[in-house]
Amino acid sequence: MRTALLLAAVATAGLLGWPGSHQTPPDGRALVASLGCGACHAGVPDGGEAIRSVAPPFGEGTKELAPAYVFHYLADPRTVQPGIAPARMPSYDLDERQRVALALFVTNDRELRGVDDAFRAAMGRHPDADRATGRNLFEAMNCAGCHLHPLATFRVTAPDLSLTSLRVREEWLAGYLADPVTIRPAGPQPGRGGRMPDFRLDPGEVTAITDFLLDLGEATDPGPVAGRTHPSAPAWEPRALSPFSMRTAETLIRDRWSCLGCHQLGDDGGRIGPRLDGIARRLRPEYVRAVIHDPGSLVPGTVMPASLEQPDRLDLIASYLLLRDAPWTGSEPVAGLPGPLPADTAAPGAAAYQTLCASCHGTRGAGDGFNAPFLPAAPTSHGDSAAMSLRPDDTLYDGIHAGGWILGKSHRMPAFGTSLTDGEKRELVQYMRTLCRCRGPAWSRDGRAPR
Amino acid sequence: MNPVRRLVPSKGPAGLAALRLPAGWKSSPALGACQRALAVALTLLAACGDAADTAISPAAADRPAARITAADFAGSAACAGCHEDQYLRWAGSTHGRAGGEPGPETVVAPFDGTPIAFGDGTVVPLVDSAGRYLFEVRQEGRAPVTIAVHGVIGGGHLLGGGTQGFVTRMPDGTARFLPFDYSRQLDDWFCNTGTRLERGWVPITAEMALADCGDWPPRRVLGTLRDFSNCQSCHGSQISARLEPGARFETRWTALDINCESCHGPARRHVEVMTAADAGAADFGDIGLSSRITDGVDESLDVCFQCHAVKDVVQEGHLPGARFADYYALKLPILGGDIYLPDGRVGSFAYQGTHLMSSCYVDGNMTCVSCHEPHGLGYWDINRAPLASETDDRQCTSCHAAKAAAPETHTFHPPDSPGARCVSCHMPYLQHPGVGGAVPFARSDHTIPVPRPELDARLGLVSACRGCHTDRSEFRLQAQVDEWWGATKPLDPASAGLLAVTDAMGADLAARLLLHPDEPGAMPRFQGLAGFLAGWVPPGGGLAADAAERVNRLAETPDPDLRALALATLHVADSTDGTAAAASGESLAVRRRWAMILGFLSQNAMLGGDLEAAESLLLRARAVLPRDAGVLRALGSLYHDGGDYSRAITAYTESLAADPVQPSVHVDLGITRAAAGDAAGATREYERALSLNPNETLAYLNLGNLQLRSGDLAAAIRSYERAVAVGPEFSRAYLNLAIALGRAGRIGEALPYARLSVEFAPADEAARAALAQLEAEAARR
Repeated sequence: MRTALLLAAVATAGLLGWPGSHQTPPDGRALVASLGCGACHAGVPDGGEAIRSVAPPFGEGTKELAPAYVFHYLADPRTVQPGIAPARMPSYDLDERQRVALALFVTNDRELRGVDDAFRAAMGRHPDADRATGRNLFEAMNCAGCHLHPLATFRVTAPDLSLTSLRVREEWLAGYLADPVTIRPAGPQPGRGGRMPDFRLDPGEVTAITDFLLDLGEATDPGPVAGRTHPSAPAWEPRALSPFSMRTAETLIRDRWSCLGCHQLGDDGGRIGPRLDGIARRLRPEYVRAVIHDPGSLVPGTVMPASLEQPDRLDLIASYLLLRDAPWTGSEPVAGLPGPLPADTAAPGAAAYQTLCASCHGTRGAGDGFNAPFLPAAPTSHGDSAAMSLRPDDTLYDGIHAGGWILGKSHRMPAFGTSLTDGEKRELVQYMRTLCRCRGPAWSRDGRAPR
Repeated sequence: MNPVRRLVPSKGPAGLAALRLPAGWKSSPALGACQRALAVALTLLAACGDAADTAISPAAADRPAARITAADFAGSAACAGCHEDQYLRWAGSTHGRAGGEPGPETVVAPFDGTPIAFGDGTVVPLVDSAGRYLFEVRQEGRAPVTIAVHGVIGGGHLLGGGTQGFVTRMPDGTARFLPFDYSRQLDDWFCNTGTRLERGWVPITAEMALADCGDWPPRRVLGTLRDFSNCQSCHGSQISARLEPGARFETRWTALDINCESCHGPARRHVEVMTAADAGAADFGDIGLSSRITDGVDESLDVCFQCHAVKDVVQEGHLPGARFADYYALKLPILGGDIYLPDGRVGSFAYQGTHLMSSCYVDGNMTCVSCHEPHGLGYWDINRAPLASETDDRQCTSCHAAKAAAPETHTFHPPDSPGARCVSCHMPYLQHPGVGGAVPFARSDHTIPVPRPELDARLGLVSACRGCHTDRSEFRLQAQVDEWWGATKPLDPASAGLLAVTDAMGADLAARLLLHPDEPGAMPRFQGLAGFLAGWVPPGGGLAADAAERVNRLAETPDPDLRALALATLHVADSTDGTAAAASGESLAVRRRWAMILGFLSQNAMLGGDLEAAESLLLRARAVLPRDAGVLRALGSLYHDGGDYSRAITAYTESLAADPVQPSVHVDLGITRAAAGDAAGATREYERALSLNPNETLAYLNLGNLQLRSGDLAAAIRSYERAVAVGPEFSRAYLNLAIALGRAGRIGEALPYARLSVEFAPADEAARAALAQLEAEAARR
């Protein structure tokens, strides 16, 4: 049954080129498959196979594209070349530098034939926009989810759509699909997956996809999540909070806990996780509470650590966020988004560092991650040999485990406590030592203690 | 082995007498004009706990906070209805059972009629038929005295040594401690011999005289009263004591346990607001109380340090909820004291303020409630997960997680042995040296040190290793530490500097060793600077460039204690008094501390006989804190001692203008007027003192002296009799009465008073001489 539907979806795409012109009411399932939602999202029947069969692959041996063409195409996929069928390549808010870099990376033309004045001028303005930058962007935005490339891997990191009915509110979802606003500027896992682009859906498509996604978890067997228990969250409503309790919760979240290291609340806070303003308009209460209590149970692989706080205070925070009266808005664009891992980092701890630490501490540990400007205190530079030589390995470990506050540093550095194993924490410490090329102070290395 | 340097040269208890105490002790040639004896006064100096490390801008700090009064408190019972869970946990805690009215629930000491035997009498604790708790004091040849117990202090709970004490209400309105304390571990009565035998706390034996107990007759009052020996605002809830001018002292408390509002602040308005809200008359925007769960680190510590730390009183009248730094200074007791050792551990008696020296606070953010669950006073981890006992490693490993994965690689002790517990090595129970070794009073070391057996021994401490391995020498223990851990974590630079510095070193080297403006932790920086000030800052002598630069940077810290000490150091070194100009930019909290420090230094100079330096320092204090009653009084006292009665009178008069309710300053002024030959003026001052405080012993005493000198023997005897009646703890009152009676030929009546004066002041030569003379006279007759 599923195979047949998949084939049907591919056939539709094949016949009509791209979805978009409907003779009959659109089929949500077919749309989701043909748009390639599964290239980024877990929990949908089609894992992106359909889109990868039609989106052009890149790399050696693939069709030659002119760099200038790609450069202009990315600016507005709809208008670059009149005559091509209504392109369903979604729109990304790419800046000129990003377009130059991507154009250079995805094309094989090293002689740059057909370069027009506009592209040449853009290259002149962005001398650092080279093929390596383009490759980083290509991976960071998960372009490979649709466009295969031998140098890039794709990752399914976007929210599990089989949880849609558990997760989001219907009215919000419809609005979001019609006009997507960035929720996580750096993607669900910073450096590992892009943000939601604009598919330019018409109202009929929005309705069809919304209906399909809301039914997905309950009515449809979502292939990719088969084999594991379908996550659930117990019914829950925020408890009424007095203005006093609201202030208490706000102080906790702003000045005591690490939440705003990653999340934005009002004008304050980081840009890693979704903005917390108005989440009651976006998310269902039981989902908010369940994620705050145990993020990994609903979002496998999330970078959000499980809080070590006690349940009563977690409920207080959940209630506060849901009761707080604020309009929902997405995040603003962020400069300097990270690419994927630097090429030389197959070392133990490197992958975890890039995923969990680099957003603030920088991909090379210089304390210059994209999120650093949004923090009240500069993140530690793990590359600073002099400073890091004064810190015992155990102190680094303890900071990862219990957060920055216990070290007398920023409370916005979260505690990864139970979200990382002892071995993972030790590997992270080991990796930080490669960044600073240093060891901890001699006194911290116990005499004959096995290390 | 290097000598351990005392922080300042003067011996004796720390303190800032100039501001908080009757300044000086003066004696007339004939009989000894009396103020409250200096020895008594100085013991107060090391008072109780503080510390806001928070910036206080002058504008914000000096804004008067709403005055909190006793009427603002509701009592714990008012909390029980809505907060039953917290209330029940509290009620069973050591705070909830910390004391109260005497009764079977509160008294753990045996009030069963078994006498406490002294060499010169017995004291019988008993419960009479009406259920009253009493001490009957029986001494041969004297009428028995029955003292009612009006309050029970402590429940003997604490593991390292739990005690229970008792207070009685006195006719002058004060509530005073009785000298009969009970140790639960010893199951025995003991007393504090401080101010007499100076042997610390000792179990009462038949070899002791009743007067060997320093608090006999009772002198330590509950509540903070400048003219009394005390530090007892902590042994109960919202204890306040103040003089009702013209009447008695008013001593009140909400409870003698440690109640909800001791930590949460005054709650009467909270009860009113919430009751109104229940009735629909208000929303919950303002609940009349603040939340403790959002406290910052120092805010949280201030709550506990109200009691659990030694502190100096910056201003009297503190009640919970008031801004701590306005009333208490945690670090000033370091000056001149032996309260802390150079590494911050307890040198005499210091509670848990040593936390401020711990790396967990200095390099982290640890508060008391990081480990102590504040309602039931059990234990929990940093994430508030309950722990079963005070030895549970998760108090530590919830932060120090790196040590938890394979603890045996760090502990080197069998996993389930006591030696493998974090607290066994890092928070050993250490007997407080100030109480001696006879009565258990050990407290877990809250500096949370690394065991360093040789250094510990050098500091006079029992190292954590030695605490268990009593059969091994410090040398062997140190060798084992070296083998297992190699070099251990270095001490903070200021502590290390204090241990390394010697008197022979020059100021440059001392500055490098002791002044560490860039280090974290206000307490260690304060200790280092205090050491530098004590040894290398001659008044008016200036500072070398490097030292000046370091002290100037220390003066930029927001911590009011450290900031004030740095400013005072600059001020002392300054030859032109130009530093005083900086005072206008400082908060009142800082200026008060600054002046207190200068006052303390002045007192030291005075004790050292350098009146010129003492004056210069007090004038600087006056420049920093003009029109301060304490500074002006100290100045008056100084001028009096120097024989400059005219200026003394001016200073005392100005002090009284700044604060008219100072009966003891009227006494001081009277003494000066008398010395200047103005007997009528002196009498007027004594009478003014008595009009403010009808129980002002020193007014009667000095009035009696005047009358005696003028030949009015009968009037003098009447005055002295009043002095004895209202101030039974004053040995000089007995002495002068004995002398007056002797002069009147009433030798038989005089003798018992002379004996009492010697009994209560065995070292007083005048008392001994008078007694000998009277005995000889009696024999002759």
